[in-house]
Amino acid sequence: MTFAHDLRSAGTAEPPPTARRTPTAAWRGLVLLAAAVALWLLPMVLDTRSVSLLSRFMLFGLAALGLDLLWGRAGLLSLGHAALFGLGCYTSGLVLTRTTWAANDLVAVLAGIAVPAAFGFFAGLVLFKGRIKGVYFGIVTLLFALLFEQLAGTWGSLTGGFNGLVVPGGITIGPLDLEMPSDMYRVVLVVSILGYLVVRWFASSPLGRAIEASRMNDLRAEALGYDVAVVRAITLGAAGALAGLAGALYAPVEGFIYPNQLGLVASTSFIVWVAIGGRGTLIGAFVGAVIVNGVQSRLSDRFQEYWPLLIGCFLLVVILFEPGGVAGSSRRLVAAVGSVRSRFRARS
Amino acid sequence: MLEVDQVTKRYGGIVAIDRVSLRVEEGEIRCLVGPNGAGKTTLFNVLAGSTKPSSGSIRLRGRDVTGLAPRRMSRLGVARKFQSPSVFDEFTVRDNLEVAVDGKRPVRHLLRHDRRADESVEDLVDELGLADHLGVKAGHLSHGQRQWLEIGMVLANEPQLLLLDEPTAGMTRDETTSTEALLRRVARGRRLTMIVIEHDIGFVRALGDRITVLHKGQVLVEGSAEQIEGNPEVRRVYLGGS
Repeated sequence: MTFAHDLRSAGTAEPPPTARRTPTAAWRGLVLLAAAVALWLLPMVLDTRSVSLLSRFMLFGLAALGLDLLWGRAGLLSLGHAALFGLGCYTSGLVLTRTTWAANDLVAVLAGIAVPAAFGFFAGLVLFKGRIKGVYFGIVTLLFALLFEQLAGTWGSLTGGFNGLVVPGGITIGPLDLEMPSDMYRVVLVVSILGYLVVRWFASSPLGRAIEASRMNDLRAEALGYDVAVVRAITLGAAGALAGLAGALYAPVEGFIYPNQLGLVASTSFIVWVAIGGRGTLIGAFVGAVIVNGVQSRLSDRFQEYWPLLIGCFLLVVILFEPGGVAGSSRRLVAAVGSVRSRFRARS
Repeated sequence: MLEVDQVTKRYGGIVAIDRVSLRVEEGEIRCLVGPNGAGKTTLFNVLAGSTKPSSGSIRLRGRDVTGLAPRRMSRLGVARKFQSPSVFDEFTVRDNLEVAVDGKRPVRHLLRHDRRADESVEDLVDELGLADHLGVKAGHLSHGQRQWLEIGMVLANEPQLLLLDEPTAGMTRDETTSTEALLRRVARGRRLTMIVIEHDIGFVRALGDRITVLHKGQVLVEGSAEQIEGNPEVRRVYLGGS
């Protein structure tokens, strides 16, 4: 359920809808705008290394957004989301390194979106028409991750094998030469915000509602006329497009891609980020990825060893005590502040 | 409207329905009764497309629709209310109804909201008596309200043939009465054809034009309420033994 839905339905349940809705929406818009401006200005105060780290984390967040669409909204837990991300990485990396077209940077990004999206949609169509769901979907996606990782490792002549593929840093879009880490950071920031807004719009459309309906009760959805297999395949395609977009930009940001990025460990990381951020909330997936990666990068080397243990315990705590994740608890906090404020107003 | 001809469904060695034939006229309300295990729900599964019959044929307005998938049947105007309330619990009443209205739109049109959907939802909630609950999640409604909501979803799907599997199951006396009134109203207002599975004999008497009694997968007898109630075969089946 998106926030927009909540607002709309709350509005119809309570008599004075406009009086209540406007200030909150305005506040939210203002806060988001301030955050965007602050993030835009961030490279002026941060060192270069932190700026490029933050770009990477936001790209993970963008890809995690795709997993949230799939897992949170459609209820399909993919254990191989990194395969789609990595497919975007390699597609864009290969276009950037192996071709000499004039506009190859733009082509690299577009191909990096299109290839994983098409793969997701068509693989999904085959799987979902074959009535694969639940645990079996998880297992199949796990196999995809292992297969792609293996393929990227062994097909050395194309992918650079286990040594990875070195990609020139930065991209050029038309007249804009974006080579500095701070330039790439701003590209990533704008793409992330646009990506998030598009996902929000998509998720609140009738199609987004059909996606959720097919999670809650697929027989009912089918009986109402929906082709659940196609609806699910579209979701997997959209998840592929987002992961691919993130991966396509990750290649020039990081400058180096390697087979592990398509594998199982990377895939489980995406799941952890979405769970901690708040499954099904969309913004939570993005925030979760940035926060978890941010914390990890700040830890000293000594703690890095214990990191999987730490994050595992933290995940357990989230699942047991706050299944809504970061997004869920901050939403509750905002609601609590709002109710205190209105009580205070009523008294004065 | 609907012609079911010699339809049989076998599960392994078990015959769930056995050479069932049925004719339902346009605008008719047909009640389907019979003891547990008589094959009523299996017949619905076959009519709605959830189960392919082992043999026999189904014709809808003269068109052969045997074995079509549920969503195809839905697009041909056959809508089904499941036995236990089958609504989307995490959606509000409004979203439940809107998702039902959108069910028949082609997928490529689903990125845009359809204004007409809003209007038909407003009309529907009045009819269902759920106007005060538009913003309430379906999971928070009472059992009876959930049953009405699902009837509403099925109606929002703009059917011509409505299949209702025990629409009053688990309802109080009052709720049953208002469900009866609701169904009669929509049947008349929309000129719907309905097939209703129901155990409540008062309900059947009040609503049904004709009644078909199923027993052990076969049609035992068909007729008006008086004919059925006076039939010694039916009494024997319901009151004891086999």
